Amino acid sequence: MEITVMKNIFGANAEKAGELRALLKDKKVLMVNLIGSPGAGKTTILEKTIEELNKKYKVAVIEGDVATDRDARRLQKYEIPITLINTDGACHLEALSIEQSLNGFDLDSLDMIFIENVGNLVCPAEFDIGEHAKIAIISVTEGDDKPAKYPLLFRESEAVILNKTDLEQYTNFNRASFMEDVKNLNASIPLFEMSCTKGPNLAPWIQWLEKRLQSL
Amino acid sequence: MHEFSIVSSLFEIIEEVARENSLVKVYRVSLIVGKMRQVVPVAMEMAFEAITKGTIAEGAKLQLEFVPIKMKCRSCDHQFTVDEHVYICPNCEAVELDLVEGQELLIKQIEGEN
Repeated sequence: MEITVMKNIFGANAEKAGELRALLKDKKVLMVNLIGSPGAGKTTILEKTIEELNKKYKVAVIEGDVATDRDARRLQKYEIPITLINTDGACHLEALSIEQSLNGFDLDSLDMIFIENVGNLVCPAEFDIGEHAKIAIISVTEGDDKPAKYPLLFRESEAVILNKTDLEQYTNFNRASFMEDVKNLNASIPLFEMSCTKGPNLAPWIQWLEKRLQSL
Repeated sequence: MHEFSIVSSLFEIIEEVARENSLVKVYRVSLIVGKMRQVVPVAMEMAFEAITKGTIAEGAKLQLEFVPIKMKCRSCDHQFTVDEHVYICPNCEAVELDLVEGQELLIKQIEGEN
């Protein structure tokens, strides 16, 4: 017998993600999903961002890691709520595990939640985890071809952070080609350039986050 | 290897449908996959073979029906297929576009025996 199903394969995840997004909007909490390769600088950017936001906002972090609690431990010094999700080898986070993390937070007291996704440019772009915005984090040392190779991430993201710009002179990173690919994929997407080791130039990024929080 | 995640979720649905329809064997499963999903057929087959091993879907044929990425321009209503990842209207060069199709990830049909 032939059975017509016509069902979304990630339907259960998408439904849960939608619920989480609505709950957070209701609580006026902005949830941001940081996606980038291993070594792109996600945790360092998060550290700098927390240092800046801590002056004015209540921030919490969900750390996704394949194994270990190293990233979570790096953030302990800020004395903010942090939950760690070890995916045990899985390459991305899903809405169900984010729900468990959110249950551990006092949402009424928070303004923003940052999720550091598992270091990977493919799978995290695929999974809606209830965030309000995905952010693509790329460093110049990874090469300028990343937008062309991982188009879904750049289509799905609301902003791009280009990190390690201080190293650009030592690489063959072709900025014009990078910009053109990003523009072709997502012309109106804002790009924030950072060099976390040389002084990250955070102001435009922080302003963007504040504006995004207000627009919830 | 997001194909493994896709096939894991797919298999849960196959099991559910098989239960509802009292299937004892699954012969064929067809999917509708938007090009934006970046699904690699060989990786899908590998994952499907591994995950269905020893189940009622072992040896079933996995059919993938790909859907090109189609966008609609918000300025001039022109609809076009996206090639080479260029999301710019070829008619008026506007960049504010809405997705018409190409992001699907659906299980279409299951053929089996009850």
